[in-house]
Amino acid sequence: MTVNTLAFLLCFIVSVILYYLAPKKYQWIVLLAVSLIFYHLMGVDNFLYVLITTVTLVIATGRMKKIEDETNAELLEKKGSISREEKKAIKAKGKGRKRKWLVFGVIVINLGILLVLKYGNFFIDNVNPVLQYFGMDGMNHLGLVAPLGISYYTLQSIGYALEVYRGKSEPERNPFKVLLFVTYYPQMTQGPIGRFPDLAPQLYAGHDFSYHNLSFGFQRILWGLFKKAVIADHLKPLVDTIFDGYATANGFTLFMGCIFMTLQIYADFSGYSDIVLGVSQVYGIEMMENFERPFFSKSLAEYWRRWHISLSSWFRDYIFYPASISKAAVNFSKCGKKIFSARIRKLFPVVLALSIVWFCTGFWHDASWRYIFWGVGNGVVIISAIILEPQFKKAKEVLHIKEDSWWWQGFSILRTFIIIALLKVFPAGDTTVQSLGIVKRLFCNFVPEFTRAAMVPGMETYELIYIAFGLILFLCVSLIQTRMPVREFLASKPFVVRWCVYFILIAGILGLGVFNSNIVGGFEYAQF
Amino acid sequence: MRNFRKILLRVLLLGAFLMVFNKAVRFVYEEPNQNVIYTRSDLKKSNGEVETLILGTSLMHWGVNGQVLGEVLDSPTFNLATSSQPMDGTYYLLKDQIKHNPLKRVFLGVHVTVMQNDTNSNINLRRGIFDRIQSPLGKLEYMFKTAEPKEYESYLFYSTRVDNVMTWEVAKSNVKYKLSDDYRNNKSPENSRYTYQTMGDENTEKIYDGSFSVEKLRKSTVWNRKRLLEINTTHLQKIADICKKNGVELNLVIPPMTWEYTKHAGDLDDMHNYFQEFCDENDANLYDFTYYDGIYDIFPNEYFQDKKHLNARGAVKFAELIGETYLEDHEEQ
Repeated sequence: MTVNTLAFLLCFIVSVILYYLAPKKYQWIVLLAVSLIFYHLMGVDNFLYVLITTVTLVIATGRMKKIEDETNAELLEKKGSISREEKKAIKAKGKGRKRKWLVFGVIVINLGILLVLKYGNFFIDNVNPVLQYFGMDGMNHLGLVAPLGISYYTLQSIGYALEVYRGKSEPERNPFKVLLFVTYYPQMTQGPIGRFPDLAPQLYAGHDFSYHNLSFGFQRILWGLFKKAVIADHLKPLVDTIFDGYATANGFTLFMGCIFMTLQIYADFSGYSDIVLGVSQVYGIEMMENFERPFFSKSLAEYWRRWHISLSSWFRDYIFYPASISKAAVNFSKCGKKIFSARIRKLFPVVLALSIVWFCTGFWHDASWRYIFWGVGNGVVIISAIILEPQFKKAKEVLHIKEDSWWWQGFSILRTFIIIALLKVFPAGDTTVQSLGIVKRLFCNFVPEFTRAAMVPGMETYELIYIAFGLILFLCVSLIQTRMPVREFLASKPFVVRWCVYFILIAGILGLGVFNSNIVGGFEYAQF
Repeated sequence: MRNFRKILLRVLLLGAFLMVFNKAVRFVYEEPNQNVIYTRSDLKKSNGEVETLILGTSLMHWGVNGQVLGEVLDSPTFNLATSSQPMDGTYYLLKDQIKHNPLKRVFLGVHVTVMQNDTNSNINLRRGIFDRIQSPLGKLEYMFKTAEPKEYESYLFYSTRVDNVMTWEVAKSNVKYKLSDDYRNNKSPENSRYTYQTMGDENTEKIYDGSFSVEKLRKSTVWNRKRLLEINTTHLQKIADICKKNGVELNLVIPPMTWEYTKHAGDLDDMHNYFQEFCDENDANLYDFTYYDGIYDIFPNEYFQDKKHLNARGAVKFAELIGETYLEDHEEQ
């Protein structure tokens, strides 16, 4: 059962009634029960991995807290009788090895499970040719299935352990509450990847019923469903048609395929996020925004600050910052004083950290080389932009380009969109070989052909009208969002106008949405 | 309390919109040559009257003229058989009809394909049953028992079944027809393959040309006890149970078919024995016309529209035959 079905909506409504009927201090129990039931209904029978994650978090964070308490007690006991240095030494001892081992343990166990379940076969596939080269027998594939959402809840859980380690968060001692944090159903399968200090207190707190939350929550769910059913699910067959026939396709058609795929994935993923955020709002829980009109970005770096925000900010906080101030980066800056210029020494830590982040981003998405290429491709563009920044600045001065002029901004937005779309060529194929075939044909057989067969092969007129209707509405909403929140804007309108908008959306979803049970299905990002 | 009233008002408003929207889309897009429109309307009109019900697949739908059977039996009769009717669908239709009508007897068509085909997996056939179930609770029960969660939308909202919303020509001709007297009088449009009559009966004048292809026969058309599907046998039993519980007489009917088809249908003696045993165990009657004396003389090819389905003439004749046989049988008893 996915969140874009009527069955989910009906179950969700029942859960909301139960949630608000329950006494406030027990509301989190209702949420936990509902989460586990939904997790099961979404097709997961094996709760073992989720339980391992929960147990490791409870033990490690509890132990870390205990060490911190002991340190504080020692400091309190010796208050006034020790020097500043001794105080520092006690603190360092507290923060030191034991706590490091605990957080390291959480990371190794949870990342280990993720690596074995999701990436095990990928490693085997890549190691086998080497083994065979040396005359050894290849390894068999692991018969393990990664549970739904493992990529998301693993990162969320590691983030929690790191927050406690850094002393930015108080650990939760109740294992069932930790289990709720790990399995909170709306976000479990596709994020947003929540942060413990923001999300957990809201999950555990009691909430009064609020009509405002109910109304705004359902508005958001409706909008998410519209994006999924009318835009994403109509674009999917077009994208599949284009890339399935890549072997004989014109490069121009493949380029159009990249553009449609970019729009499809955005409508699909942001539609899911809207549903999740709407569902949470009805419970009175405000979740992290995952998108901020990413296609209005003027550079790829800006795009990544506005697309899948919860993931990019996770990588920023837990990989980029630690990597850029890591010993290796600092030592390079120190050692290379005589060999490298100040600029290179300044850039090196950033480039090193970005390289790691983008490799991880690609690898996180899927256990395949095509996604690694895609991640690295993004990294190459972003790093190149940083390295070549002075040259670009000079070129703009020579050409008298004003950065705040409307045409340059428009050009920047268009350029960024095309780069994003072109990078989508890597995950476009079902396999890495296919993706490389698509890349080859895209660049070697590119002949602009402005015919319907070349631009939108296999699409009926009515399907194009649906997609155009959906995209125009999407654009209008995005434009309104740049000035003010859309739901506030809608709330300021009379009742009749508001309900006409709802009716148009509902009629759009039911009338134009894809409901053929063979086509409609899960969300693209659920596979990651 | 204020919030509750506010929410209730909005829920009602939403419900009303969905109802109106659904009706409007049905009006514009539900094609009149799918005679289900008339069946539904007649079902509603005949509530509280029907004593004899015809159920089963196309063999009964086109093969028995319900009105003629009703006249012979002197009992209001409705033909609620549909093409490839899934056996579980038959059960839920019967359950629904028992609530709405003073049913006395049911004529259920059975044959090889009825027991061996997995028609339950066809969503269009299941939605056809959903449309013919009248009570909202019956509809919901049927939906929850037979549909996957992702199929709920297409059961409940007709709009989710319309593939081509922008085909204005279809919409235009539909609306034009539905505003005409023909529609009000349940008269099928001229382009219909089958002509609707009344109380679920529809038929065709088409005559079978004798062209029969053995290659087209599938495994499911040859009787084999091992191939009976559990979902079909279970629901056949449920049908017998619900009939017994509600004092409705169950009559299993094996309709006549062309000789060319029958001779390739496998061990029909075994099929007869299977259904006879079932009837004996469940106080039901079996009317097997496969080996009825001189059946191929009574029903030559002129009475068929294809190798196994009777045409309009055949349906009248078969209705008379069932009715008379039934009466004779009951007089003897």
